[in-house]
Amino acid sequence: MATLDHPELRESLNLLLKNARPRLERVLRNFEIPPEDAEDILQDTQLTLLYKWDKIRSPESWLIGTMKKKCIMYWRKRRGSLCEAVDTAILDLLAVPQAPDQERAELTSDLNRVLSRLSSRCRSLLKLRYGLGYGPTEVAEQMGYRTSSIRKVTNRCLAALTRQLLAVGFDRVPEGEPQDG
Amino acid sequence: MDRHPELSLLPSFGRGRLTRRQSREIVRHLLARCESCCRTLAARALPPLRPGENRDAESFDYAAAFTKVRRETELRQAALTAERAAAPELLRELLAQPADRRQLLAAASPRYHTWAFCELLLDAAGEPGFPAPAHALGLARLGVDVAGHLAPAVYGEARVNDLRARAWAVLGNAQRLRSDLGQAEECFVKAERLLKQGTGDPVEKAQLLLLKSSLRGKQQRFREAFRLLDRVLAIGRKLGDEPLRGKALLLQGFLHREAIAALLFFHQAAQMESVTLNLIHEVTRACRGLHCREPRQRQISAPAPRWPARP
Repeated sequence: MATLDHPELRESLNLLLKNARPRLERVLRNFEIPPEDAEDILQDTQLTLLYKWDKIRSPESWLIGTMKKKCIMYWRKRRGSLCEAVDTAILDLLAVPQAPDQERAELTSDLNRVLSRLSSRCRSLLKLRYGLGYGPTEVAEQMGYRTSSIRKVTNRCLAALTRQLLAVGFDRVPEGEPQDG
Repeated sequence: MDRHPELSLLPSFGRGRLTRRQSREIVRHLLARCESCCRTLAARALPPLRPGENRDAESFDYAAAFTKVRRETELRQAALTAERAAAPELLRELLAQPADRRQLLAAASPRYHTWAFCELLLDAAGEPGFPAPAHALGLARLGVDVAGHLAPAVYGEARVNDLRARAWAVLGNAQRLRSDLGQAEECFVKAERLLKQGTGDPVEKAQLLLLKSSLRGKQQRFREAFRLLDRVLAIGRKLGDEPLRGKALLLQGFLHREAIAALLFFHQAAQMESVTLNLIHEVTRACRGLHCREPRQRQISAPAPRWPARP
């Protein structure tokens, strides 16, 4: 079996990494990965290739495919973190116990305005979550979803809410709204 | 409207790295329709809606990232080469000990807790296979122990999880060879759980699926076995990994033979019409499937299934 113990095979790994660099750069650019985060993705991919070199039969396809996958995961994670931050912040804002009535009314009105731009399914779901303080299981029961799928549906709605939150005031509404629910 | 949040905080908010109080203030500000903050945040935190939308990406410079990663890869490569050079001697040393002492030694000494040694153990556990299932089982158990001691801080958590998953799958396979199907099933459940926390490497997944399909075959759950092998074939096709596809096709051929043998046995025992129909279906599938499954890619030709002897 080919192993890295042989100098010529070690060279072949280095050569592959050198030759694949333009393609790897293209992948990073196509996925618009910020340079400060590219290092982590690159390092993770290349070290995995190094450790599994003996098991991978077509290293170049593997390298490019894995990079693409990691770039997709990168944005998925970033989106997830942002949505989670928005969700927690809204829940916190609504939970403030002694907020003056006017402040509370303004918050509700601002939130409703953003919600009004979502699909009816997401609007209903998020109103149950924010307006009535329902937990995921209660939302699932109320809206007729299976408990196993409510997390996924809620995440989609939170993503739509976050997009709308950042799109308020823009002339152009981002596309992708059909994905709301 | 409240005053604008500090501009420097917006990127961290986009990554969900602020405190709850800071996030709350920013979200409240955004809800109040602050156009400039929305624009800044959307530009810095949201993924592009379509490829090529972000004009800034054209000017991204990745040279520094490539240079740093090359240096790090070279360092790790040197360390791994040293590990690999030491591994065979370590294995000989360990195998020279009585069987009941090996596990204790492997757990106690950090010399054994290396990636290369663990891989070597697992490869060795996969090799003896049929001739010496008890030996394979011992090696696989050692492999699981050593994989459990690998340091995620050194090798990376996801990669260590991949190797641990491989170790459990090899142990499951060794259990299958000893016909301990219950234990084997448990091992594969653990392997799959670990693999989910791994790197997502398709080759690692394919190897696990190959071993699992053998277990399904042994359990006479042929439909599931064929489905798993179809997934391996798809991975092999996607990666252009011909040996992987070859293995999957060979295993399919073997499983077809097993399936037909099992149906013949039931047919003889029960003389049931439904079994006869299943038998005809299986024979047809075996004969057509292996040759016609991938009409566009004929480089790999699987051997025709041989008609089994009557059980």
